[in-house]
Parts: sequence; C-alpha cells; structure tokens
Amino acid sequence: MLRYVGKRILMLIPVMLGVSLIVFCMIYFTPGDPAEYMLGVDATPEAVAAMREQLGLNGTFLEQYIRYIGKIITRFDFGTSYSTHRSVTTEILDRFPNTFRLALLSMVVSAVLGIILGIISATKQYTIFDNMASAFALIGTSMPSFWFGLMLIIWFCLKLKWFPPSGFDTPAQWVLPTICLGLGSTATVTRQTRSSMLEVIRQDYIVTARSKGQLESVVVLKHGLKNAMMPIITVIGNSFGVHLGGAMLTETVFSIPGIGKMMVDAIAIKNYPVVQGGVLFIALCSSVVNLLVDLLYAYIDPRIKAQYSKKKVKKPAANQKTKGVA
Amino acid sequence: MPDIMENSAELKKQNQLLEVWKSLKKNRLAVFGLCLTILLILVAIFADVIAPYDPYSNDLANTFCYPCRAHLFGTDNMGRDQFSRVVYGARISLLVGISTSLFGMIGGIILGSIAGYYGSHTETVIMRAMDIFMAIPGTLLAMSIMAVLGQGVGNTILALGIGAVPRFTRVVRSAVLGVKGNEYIEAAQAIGASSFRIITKYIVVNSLAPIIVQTTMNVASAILAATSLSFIGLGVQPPTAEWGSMLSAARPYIRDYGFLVLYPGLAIMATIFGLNLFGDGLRDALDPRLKN
Amino acid sequence: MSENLLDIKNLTVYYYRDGKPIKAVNDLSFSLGKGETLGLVGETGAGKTTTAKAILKLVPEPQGKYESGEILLDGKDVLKMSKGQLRRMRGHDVAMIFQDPMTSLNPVLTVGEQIAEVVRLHSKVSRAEATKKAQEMLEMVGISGSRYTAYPHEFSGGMKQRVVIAIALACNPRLLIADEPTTALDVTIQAQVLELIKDLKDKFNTSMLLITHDLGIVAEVCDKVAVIYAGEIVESGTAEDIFDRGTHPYTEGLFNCLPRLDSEEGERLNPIKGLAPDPMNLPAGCAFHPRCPYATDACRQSNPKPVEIEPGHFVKCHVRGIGKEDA
Repeated sequence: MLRYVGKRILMLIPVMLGVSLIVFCMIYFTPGDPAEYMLGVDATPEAVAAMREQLGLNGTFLEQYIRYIGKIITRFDFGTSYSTHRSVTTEILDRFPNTFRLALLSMVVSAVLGIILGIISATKQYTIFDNMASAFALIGTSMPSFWFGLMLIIWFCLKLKWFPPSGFDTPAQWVLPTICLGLGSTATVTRQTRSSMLEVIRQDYIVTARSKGQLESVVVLKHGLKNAMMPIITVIGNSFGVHLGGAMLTETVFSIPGIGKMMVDAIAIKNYPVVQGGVLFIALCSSVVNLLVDLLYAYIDPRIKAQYSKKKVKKPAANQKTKGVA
Repeated sequence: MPDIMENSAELKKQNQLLEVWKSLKKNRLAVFGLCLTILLILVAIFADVIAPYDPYSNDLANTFCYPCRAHLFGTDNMGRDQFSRVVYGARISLLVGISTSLFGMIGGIILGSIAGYYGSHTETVIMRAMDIFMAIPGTLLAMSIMAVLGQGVGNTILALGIGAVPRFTRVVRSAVLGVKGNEYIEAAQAIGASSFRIITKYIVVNSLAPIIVQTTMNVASAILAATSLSFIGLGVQPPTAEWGSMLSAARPYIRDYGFLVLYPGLAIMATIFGLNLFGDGLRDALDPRLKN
Repeated sequence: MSENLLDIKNLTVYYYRDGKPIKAVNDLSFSLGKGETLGLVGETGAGKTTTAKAILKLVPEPQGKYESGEILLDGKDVLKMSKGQLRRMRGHDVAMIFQDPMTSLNPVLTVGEQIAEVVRLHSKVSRAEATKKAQEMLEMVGISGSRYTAYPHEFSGGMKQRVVIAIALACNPRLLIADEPTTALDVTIQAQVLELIKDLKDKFNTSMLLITHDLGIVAEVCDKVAVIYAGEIVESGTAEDIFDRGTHPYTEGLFNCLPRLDSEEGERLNPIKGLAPDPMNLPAGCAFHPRCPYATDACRQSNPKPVEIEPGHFVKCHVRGIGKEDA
C-alpha cells in the first residue's frame, strides 16, 4: 500500500512537468516582449535588456524553461506579476484561501446533497420524488453556472436583498456563490448516485442482507451505499477540479477576489506570469485531490487494496462511463 | 461475390440503425431532446428569416425597451433587438459546438486508434500526454489557449477542440482495446490486411457507438464552454451576437433591466438541455451496457 | 393442519413489465411439516426462486406483486406481517441460502461481520459475543475461525457458500430455504456442501425447503417432493410417491431426461419436447398441454385441479388424475 502511494506521488511529477511545459509554451510563443510590457513603451533599450535578464528571458527555449521550472521547484517562485510587480506566488497565496474555500464548500454541499437526493431517488424509483430529482439533475447539468449566478443576484440580492451581491468575507457572502458553483456538481453527483445505487440494490447481497432481517435503512446505507460509493467518489473528486476551474466564472459574477478572478483580470491585460502560475497551481491542486480520491478507493474497497498490495497499479475502472465502454 | 457481401453488410447496418431509432423513439425524453435540437438547428439555418431585425443595427431611440410585441425579448443598451440577437446567437453556438466536436473527434480517433492498436510505448506516450492535458481543468485549458491565440470564433473552436481531444482519445482507445481482441481482427491480420486498413475498416467502424455518443455530449459541453469563455471576455467578441457575450454585455444593467440576462441564458440552457437529453437517449439506444 | 410449519395456499405472484404481467407463480399451494425436508423441483424459470423469496416476502417490489393467496408460517400470514414482524422473522425463523455464493456476499464487508450482523440482529449480545458466535459458526461450516477478518474475494466458491450457510444457520432458524445451494459449485464441492447442509439440518432439527432442478439431490436429501411447472405444483407427495410412482406426464418427462447407467445400448435420452412456457403468455388450460404427449381437448380448455390419487400424493392432470381416481 505504501509503495503504491509512493508510486502514485512519483507519477504526479512527470504530469506536473508536462503541465508546466504547456504553460511555459504559452508565454514563450506569445508575440510581444514581456520586458516591454513591464516597463512600458517609453523604456530605454538598456532598461529593457536589464529587465529581460532579470526575468530570465535570454537563452534558448530549453534554457529558459529549465530556469523557469528551477525557480518553481527550488524557491516556489512563479515569476513576477507585470502589473503589480509582486511575486506571483504571493498573489496566488493571497487569493487562494477564497478560491479554496469556495471550491471546498461547493464540493461538500454538492456531495452531501447529491448523495442524499440520489439515494432517495434510487430507493423510490419511478415515484414523483424520483422524477423530480431526475428533472432537477437534468436542469442542473444544463444550466450555465455564470447565468445561474446572475439570476441568483437579481433575485436574492437585488429583489429580496437577502444576501450581498459581492465579496467573500462573511458567511452570508458564501451562500450564493456556493449554490452557484455547486449546482452543476450536485446534479452530477445525484445522477451518479442514483445510477450506481440502482445497480447495487439489485445485487444478490442486498437480498441477503434483507433476508437477515436487517432494517431497510441499514441495508441501503451499510450494504448499498458502500458498494455504490466508488464511481460517486470519482465524480466528487473530479468536481473539485471542475470547481477550481469553474471558480473563474463564479468569482467573476460575484466579484470574489480569488485565483479565478485574478486570472481573468490578468488575461485582459496580458499579465502572463500570473496566468501561468494560476493554471499550474490549480492543475497541481486538482491532481493532488484526484490522487487522494484514488487512495480513498483502497480504503473503501478491500478488493482494490488487495490489488495494490499485489503491486498491480492498474487504475480501477471506477468511472461508470469508462467501465461501460471498456 | 464481394458485391453480395458488401450489400449484406450494408443491409445489416441499416437494420442496426433501425433498431437504434426504434429504441430511441420509445424514450420520450430523448425524443423531446431531439426535437429541441432540431428546432435549434432550424433556428440557426433560418436565422435571417426568423429574426425580425438586423441583430447589429443600433436604434438609440429605443434603448432598454422592455419585452413587448415589437421586441419580444426587449432591446439592449444600443437599442438592438434581443430576440434577433438570440436567434443569430444560435448560429455561432452551433457552429462552435459542432466544429469543436469534429475537431476533437478526428484528433481523438487518430490518437486513440494509434494508441489502442499499436500499444506498448506508442500507447504510453500518447496516453501520458493526454493525462497531462486532462490535469488542467477544461475551462482553464481553453482559457490559457485563448490567452495565447487571442479572441475570435476560429480560435475558440481551436482552443476547445484541443481541449476535447484527450477525452475522445480515451474513449476511442478503450473502444479499440475492446474491439481489438475480437477474432475478426486476428482473421484480418492473418489474411495480410495492412494496419491502416484494419484500423480504418474494422476497428474504427466497430467502435462507432461510443464515439457518436461522446460527440453528441461534447457538442453540449463545447457550447457551454464557449459561452463561458465569451462571458469572461475571451472567446467571441462583442458586438457579435453570441449568447455568452450578450450576457457579459448585459451584466452592468441587471439591477434595472433583468430581462436582458434572462433570454440569452434560457437559450443556452434549452440548447444544452436538448442536447443532453438526446445524448443520454442515444447512449442508451446505441449501447445498452452504458445504460444507468 | 396446525402441525405444519409452513402452509402456502393459492399463492399467486406476478411481475409487471411495461404494465404487462409476467405470471411467475400461479395459484400455488404446498405445505411443510416440522423437521421435514421438501424438495421443490422444476425447470429454470418455473417460479421456484420467486416462491422461495415470497416466503420471506422478498420478491422485489414494486415490479413484483403478490396477487393473492397466503403464506402461513406457524399459522401467521407472512404477507400480512408488519415491517417489524417481517424483520424479526427473517433470519430468525426463516433463513435462506442463495443460489450464487459469488454474488450473495457483500464484497466490502468481512465474512465475519456478515455473520455477526445476523447474530446481533436477533439476539441481544455484545459485539464481542457476536464475534465469538460468528467464529464458532465459521468453524462449524469447516472454516478456521481465524479467517473471520477475511473478505469474500479471498475465498473460493465453495468456501463462500459455506459462509452463506453459516449466515443462514447462525440464529437456528426453524425453516431453512436452500435455493439451488449447489448449482454454482464444482461437482466435488457440491457433495461436500450438500452433506454439510444435511448434517447441520439434522443437528438443529431444522425444516428445509430445498429448491433444485437436480433430481439426484432430491433423492438424497428430501422426505417430500413437489414438482413445479409454470408456477404451479403439478404433482406432490413423498419422495417414494414421486420417484417410484410419479404420475404426472411432466414428472414422467423429467425422469426420462435422466441418463441411466443400466440403459440398453443405443437407447437415447428422451427429453421433453418444446420449451418451458413464456410466463408472459401462458397457454390456456393446463399450462403443460403443448408439450404433453397425452394432451386431450379437456387439457386445452380447462386447467385441472389437483387430485389426491393416494394418501398425500396429489397430481394435477386431467388424464392421469382422473384415470387413477376411476380405477
């Protein structure tokens, strides 16, 4: 098991190097001279040359890349923001708590709500409740989050004046962005829970559990949910990455000072180091979460744990879709 | 003799299509989704007939007109008819959605079938590269690419298309792996068919079902992503009549003119809703194993 | 009648698909005395498993529906029990061994937990005592108690079936329903498991309903036999009645299907013609008539009632039943 964890962490390294390469290409191939961006058009050629040196923009592609990645690894240094002249790392870390809190809140809310709705929907299949939950799930996956956010603002901030329309400091300000960002994944988790619970409650061991005289609620939760959990956890884990990416839109709509809004603003003024740093940082976060999810499988399903200890690193086919296609 | 074989193969394909259609027809939600989708396509094709006004002509005497008989969805800050703009928006969304999916599909078929068919190092290299792309959340990847390429419809298609390739590659690869083990592939190898012929003639054709499903689903997610990009100021630029940029342009006025953000959003939602319903139904009809 | 542990009277269970009934069990009746073993014999799809599940009221609802009839356990109708009564009955009074041991154990719980679960449900014992009892049960079915913490995937099919048996017998049920307990197992393991069930049943003086399509198993284990066809009992009686004096054309057909060592050279097996009827579309009259070599017009028109042709030996056939009664 420990070997497996180690191996997975090692496997993360090439992926992150790849991501950093993509991100680096982004700035390298963009027309325009970053040094000029930073100093403005009326800078002297000497000042520009000095700035190029300082930014590490001299040398071949490979040299520049190695310098870039070296700084990140050794000093956690993602470069300097063109606009504020502060270190990108500081800019990210200043805003990360907001984004992280938003993504985490949405993930928790959507996981809890989605699993509850999905279970009720599956155990009461074809009833009014099931139809309503399915309709909710369908609409939830079709609704663009930024539009939903605007609707929430119009209704709850401007008409009813229940919540402030912007900012992210007090719990009252958390409510609407969390709903906005969490809606889509609540719908996805509901759908996944419903379909995997429906599959599991048809299994023979559920009948066995009932034949023991077990309470129906215990049958569903202890015997059913635990077996249905793997694809659900995959969806929840993926949702965290989706939330980090989607935070861009929610943060824009609700004017939350987070990484997403920072990147949107940075793109508008071609402040590339900030964009690079943001993408790299978010990719790292979502990869770590996916790794944790994979490790959680082993905790839930003893068969997978057994596989790991046999040193088979084949990834479990937990995702419903890939399982079906394979 | 080959003629007869081709004919019977043709006939079998028709029968399969008929089966899929039959099982799709039974699914009322899927039929509803299909109707919505067809409606969207018709609106896009006949936009210039349906739209009562030029979506780009300003009418400064008539700004912020509430929805009425003359302007079904009202007018915006430039007095442009919102209904006409929503109708024209269908064109762009559909164009972006379909082109993106075709781009992703073709890229995915090439990479996925190479990976699945040849296996070993080729497969490892391709699939690890896809892992790297998939490590970046979709919206973020498209955004980064747009940041480099600059705005515009073509660049949006390219950015979202690149983002769609990894998912298609995975689908195609696993479909190819599923088909590859079958005996008719061995038989084809035994009679000396070339790898290219085997891939195109046998493997891709037999993995069509999951590819079609993925393509349908991808049209929906691409449209959603494209409107998101436009909303944050990347993607398609104003004044182009595009749903996301319409929402973005209307944002400053939501306090007083909420209707401006209502209709473009509903249009996006109805589009995604229809495509998702249809895609779900298609998935169930094409491959019962994928059914929930 | 009161000495019967189980009395099933006119039980009818349908499943519904797209609003159309699938007639799984039709007006089925039989009874089982204390300490007896009844073999329920029939082809796949004849309604054996549905009958077994109905006794525990475990037919999946809402697809399955109990249309009519009663299932009396000690005189109390299972179908009318409250949820609480059902829970106290299941696992405690009546326990079931399922057909496929591969799928009837929960893959994410240890085998020990799964045995202890039923113990804790029906006797007020501490966790530790339940664990001890579960280990005893494992030993009893021939598995070392130390394997308590093993997961089902670590066990072979035969061992899994032993665990299933341990779960079923953990609370000394008065009625054990064994639904094709050996079908999914290798032949060598089959004999062991069957022997184990027989021993434990004798040890605890449990009544048993053994569901099978294997006449050899019936001969070995059962006191009484009921032959089921298209959800109806077509013939019932003691094992001798059925094996030596089987009367119904279907029973006859079943025995003709068996290969015999003492058969003449060149003599071929004599299978029953045709296929088991489609429960969505049962034939009118006697359900067996399309396959019956003796069918008459009466068979096509009306469904015969069971007739007692000798004490305790019932047969449901226009041709054979009436013929014997007249004689």
